[in-house]
Amino acid sequence: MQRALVDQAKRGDPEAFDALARMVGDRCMAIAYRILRDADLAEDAVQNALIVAWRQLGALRDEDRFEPWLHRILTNECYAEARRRRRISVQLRVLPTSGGAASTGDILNVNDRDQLERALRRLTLEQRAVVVFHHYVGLSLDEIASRLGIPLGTAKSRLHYASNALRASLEADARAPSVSRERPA
Amino acid sequence: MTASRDPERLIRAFLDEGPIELPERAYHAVRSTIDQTRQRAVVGPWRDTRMFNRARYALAGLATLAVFVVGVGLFAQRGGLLAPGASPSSTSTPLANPSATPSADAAGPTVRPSTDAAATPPASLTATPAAAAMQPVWRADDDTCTMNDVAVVDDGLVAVGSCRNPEARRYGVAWHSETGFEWRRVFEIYVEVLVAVSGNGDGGGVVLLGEFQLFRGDLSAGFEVEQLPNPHGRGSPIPIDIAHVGQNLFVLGETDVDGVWRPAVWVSSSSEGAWQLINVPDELANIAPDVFLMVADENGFVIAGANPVAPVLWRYDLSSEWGVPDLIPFLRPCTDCSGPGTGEVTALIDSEAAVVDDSLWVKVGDAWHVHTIGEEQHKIDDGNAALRLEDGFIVTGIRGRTYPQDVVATSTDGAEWAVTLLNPDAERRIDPTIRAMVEFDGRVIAVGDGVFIGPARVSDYVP
Repeated sequence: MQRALVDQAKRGDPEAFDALARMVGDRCMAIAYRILRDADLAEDAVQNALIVAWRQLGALRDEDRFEPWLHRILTNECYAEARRRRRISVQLRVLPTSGGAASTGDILNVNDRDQLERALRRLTLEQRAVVVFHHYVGLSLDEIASRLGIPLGTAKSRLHYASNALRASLEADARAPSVSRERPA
Repeated sequence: MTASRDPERLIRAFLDEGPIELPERAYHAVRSTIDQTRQRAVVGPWRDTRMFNRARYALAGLATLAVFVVGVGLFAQRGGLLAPGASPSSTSTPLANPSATPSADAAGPTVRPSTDAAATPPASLTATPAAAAMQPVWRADDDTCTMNDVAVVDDGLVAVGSCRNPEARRYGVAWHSETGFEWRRVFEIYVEVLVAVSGNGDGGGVVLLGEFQLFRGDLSAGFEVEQLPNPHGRGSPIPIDIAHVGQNLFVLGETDVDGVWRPAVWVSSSSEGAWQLINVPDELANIAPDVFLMVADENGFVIAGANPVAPVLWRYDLSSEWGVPDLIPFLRPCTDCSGPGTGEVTALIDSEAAVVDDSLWVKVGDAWHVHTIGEEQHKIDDGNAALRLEDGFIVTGIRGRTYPQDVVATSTDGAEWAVTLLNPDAERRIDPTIRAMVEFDGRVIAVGDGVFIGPARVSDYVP
């Protein structure tokens, strides 16, 4: 199904590309939001990525690789979008006031979310992208390297640094739950 | 540690939260754009990717070798890479002028004006009617290019931005123009270039800010990478903006101090080149945890930042140093409570005028006055670039969230605006077209997805 749409879209059919975009758009939005931590920026990045994909579709060699190919474009668009706007704003969310688990089955408490949000913000966009593709999309390091067009060693080091930083934020939180806020969000 | 406190599990659970749907308006915007956008034709047989990569690395190796050989030659000719009078700095790294990442788009050193752009100044430009407030005068023939900033330099103008290579990856580009009407590509680098300022008074020069890197040099001899020192922190500082004040260059950025990102300002005199951190009061870090714009004036510079309460401006004077923080009393009604809790200064004009989202704030005496830019259906939703002209203000931005249109708004006092479409012939766009403006030679030069020129008097825009 997707392959057929890619094939039609490559031949210039906007209807096919529209259908294709609707198949992959939500996934792209989820990835972009998790890299950028901002819904508006993520939406812009996905829009731009889809438009770039349309323009460059002729360069896609293997129709079965459309989504990985699009993800690489999307990641580059996330980088560009964030840097164009100069900063990434933090989404303010209403969180439960209790320090414990928010609900049954919710393993994250308020402090966890707060610490992870801050820790993610401190990572570079490139590190965040590797974290998202590894922990959220579920790709192996090999697959991440291939999808992002980076050497395997680079993917490893980015994931290593990012994971350590995220773990450290959780551990610091566990050690000192009343730690003072260093920066207002 | 229990299974529920397993960090990997917590990280995954955290990442599972958040939006997972692309809004319908985005699909509409994409569709409307692709209906007007040609696909890029692909010429020639496909090559084996591995072969291509090997060839690319081989070419990159040859290019590096060639750059090294040329660099050694230049070094010998110039007696070193540093400009006369500059002191040696261990943080300076020679930079190859050509892009380190070969790309088909980056092959030529110059860019031709587009065929539909005027190569010479149109005669009508000095009295542009309001219906065509700004004229498109130039666009790179590779329409993947966008400009992020423009600066007046000794011999004209420099614009910086980026283009895409065939893999859709952005690389940085600087263009030069003597008049604003014709532009020539003069510099390419592997990172997008965000900001440009004139270097200094003694011998010209240009400073460019790329993603996390500063480049200083001039357009003919090339640029060097300069690292900002961070003596009391760890990791690389993040430069955000540059201002040129007298014989000093200031860089606004953030440094990691013991795991906390704090605003920082570096200074470099034009003749020495080494960067030093200047003292930043603790209140700046507390009041403005996010800083993102900086603009120079005659005696110093102004920083714009934001905190959860209000946008804030902070002035630094060369003689009296830091002033008191100036909070803009912006209060956003909380309609959906999903966005940031405060407005963002999207264009900083000077210490007494700034655009916050859809409003122009002007300080009169000790009080800030707010003016919505445009009226009703002509209201600007996001101002992206602004200038104070001799007889008022000019702001460019977008109106409409779902089908954004690029508009130009002018006003003598901020209260009544003349708003016109920037691209009356283009139906819908995704990106704001103008990202920076500068006054040059009696005109406003605006850059973004191309170059636009308009008169430098508000009265010329009003019907």
